[in-house]
Amino acid sequence: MSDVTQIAVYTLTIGSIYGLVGFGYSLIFSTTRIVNFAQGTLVLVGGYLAWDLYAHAFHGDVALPIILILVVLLSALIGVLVDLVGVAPLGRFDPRTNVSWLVTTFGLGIVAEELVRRYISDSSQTLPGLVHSLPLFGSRRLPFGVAVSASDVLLVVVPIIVVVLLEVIQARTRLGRAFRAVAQDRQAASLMGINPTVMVMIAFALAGALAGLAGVLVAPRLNVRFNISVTLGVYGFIAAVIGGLGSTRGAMIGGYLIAFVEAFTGVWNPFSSGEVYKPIAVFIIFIAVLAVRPSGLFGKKIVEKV
Amino acid sequence: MTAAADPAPERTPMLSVRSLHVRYGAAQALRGIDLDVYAGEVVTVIGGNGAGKSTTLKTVSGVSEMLKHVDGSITFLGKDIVRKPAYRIARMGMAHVPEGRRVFPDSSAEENLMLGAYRRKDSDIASDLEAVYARFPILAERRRQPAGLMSGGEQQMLAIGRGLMAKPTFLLLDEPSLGLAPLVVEQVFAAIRQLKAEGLTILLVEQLATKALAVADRAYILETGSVVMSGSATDLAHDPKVRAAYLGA
Ligand SMILES: Nc1ncnc2c1ncn2[C@@H]1O[C@H](COP(=O)(O)OP(=O)(O)OP(=O)(O)O)[C@@H](O)[C@H]1O
Ligand SMILES: [Mg+2]
Repeated sequence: MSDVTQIAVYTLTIGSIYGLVGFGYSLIFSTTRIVNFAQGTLVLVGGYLAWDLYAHAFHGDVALPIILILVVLLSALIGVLVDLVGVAPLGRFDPRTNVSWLVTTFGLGIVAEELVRRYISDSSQTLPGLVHSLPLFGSRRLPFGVAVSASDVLLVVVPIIVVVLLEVIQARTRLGRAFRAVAQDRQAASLMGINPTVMVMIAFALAGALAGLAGVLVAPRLNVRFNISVTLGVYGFIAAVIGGLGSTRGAMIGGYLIAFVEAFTGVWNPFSSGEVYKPIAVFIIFIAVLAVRPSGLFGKKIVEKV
Repeated sequence: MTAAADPAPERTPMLSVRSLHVRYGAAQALRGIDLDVYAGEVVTVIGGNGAGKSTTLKTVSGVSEMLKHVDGSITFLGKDIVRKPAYRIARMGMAHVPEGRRVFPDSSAEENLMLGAYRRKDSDIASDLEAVYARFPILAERRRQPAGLMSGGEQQMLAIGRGLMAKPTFLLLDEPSLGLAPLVVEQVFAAIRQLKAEGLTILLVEQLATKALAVADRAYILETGSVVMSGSATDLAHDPKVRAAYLGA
């Protein structure tokens, strides 16, 4: 397989997953100014829920796309639970000085992971590709001998569609405008008659849904396993910060960027085994971007309101 | 001249504040305020820096971060609204144009105005938007521009326009003249006079006492969290103590 196409495929598939997870961080950060440390775990929960539904509840006879939809809905509910249990009870607080959210979101992530271990499975599982073939696209070989499966195509296309769709909703609909108002100035938004609590809940629901979606989409490639919550949680967070927390398309670009850096390091590496150097390269890029643009590639300076 | 001259004793006030106490941590910002606003009136609250003017408005509109530390009663349109969340009070027809304007900086001027009309479902929104543009022609020129890039005066007009887009029955204005050039201050006060002529009920917080007293029917003077004087705006404008302390005479 050619190096170039290998890098391209990795960047587009894994990068879009980092982007989806990062988008979730961004949605929550922009409405609450907190970082939801349960976000990575929700990816894992989504993967295991899909596997459980596939292997047990439906014994494999329900089409996987239906399972995908179920998991996305369940994950949205779990996202709302994180808000209701971990964040909303903290009341109106200043996230810079009151950091209880750090403990509650991280703690809920651990709880969710342990629940999965206890009630679903405590070992790695495999989930077949969502679809075995797409219209106009079976599993086929691209030039340079790269094998691309139909689920890889979904992995590339679905996140882009989702992100574009959410951007359009934010820009064009009444709900989207209210959401952006809360993200810009929560108090001023409430003076417009917008209920900020509801908008925050919507952000958590969307972030949960995105994490669940990422968990299912990525399963055929990376399998369903526990350390995914850390990998995707951390890399998704880095993607969001590089793109500029609060910027939607920024998270996607950030995701592609770090996946590219990983793939590049894996292939062209002055030292022999690339794997070890991937995280190092990602962190170097992370720090380099923040050194040049502290609020991320697409981020705006956060202006302190008096 | 301590009791406000009640303009219409037989009517109940639109807004009635009784014995309002607000604390920020250990600091007492309001120490028992009584204040009434009747329908159709323009009432002004005057006072120096830190007197508690913004705290009063923020507690009335529910936007204060400190609602837990509020005591006393606030009645709006016959309903107890103390400690109600701001979005509920806004939906009752109260529009608060906050200190420092607080426009949505990344949204265009027109988006800001439309957010003012967020809760409305009637068919007059488009004509009200045109009315705001007619009232503040500069906003029509800037309609596509992000509000954060507009000048202070333009932002103030946008904030007032945004408040008007809610079609409020009661308008709270917190220092609309703050930081504006004299000519722009004139424009803002002209707009307030016009709104008064149209019959809108307004509670105006100002440090420019002369201008505020000239437009208001009644006034309250606030010092370190207490009302020290109240009465008809003309009486207060002629009171020697007020003139010495607030009118620079
Ligand atoms: N968020 C806050 N935390 C702590 N103290 C506050 C807070 N907001 C206001 N205060 C204090 O409460 C008192 C009243 O403040 P407030 O903002 O109501 O005054 P103001 O009359 O509006 O003054 P200005 O004319 O400067 O706007 C001041 O002593 C101020 O320092
Ligand atoms: Mg003030």
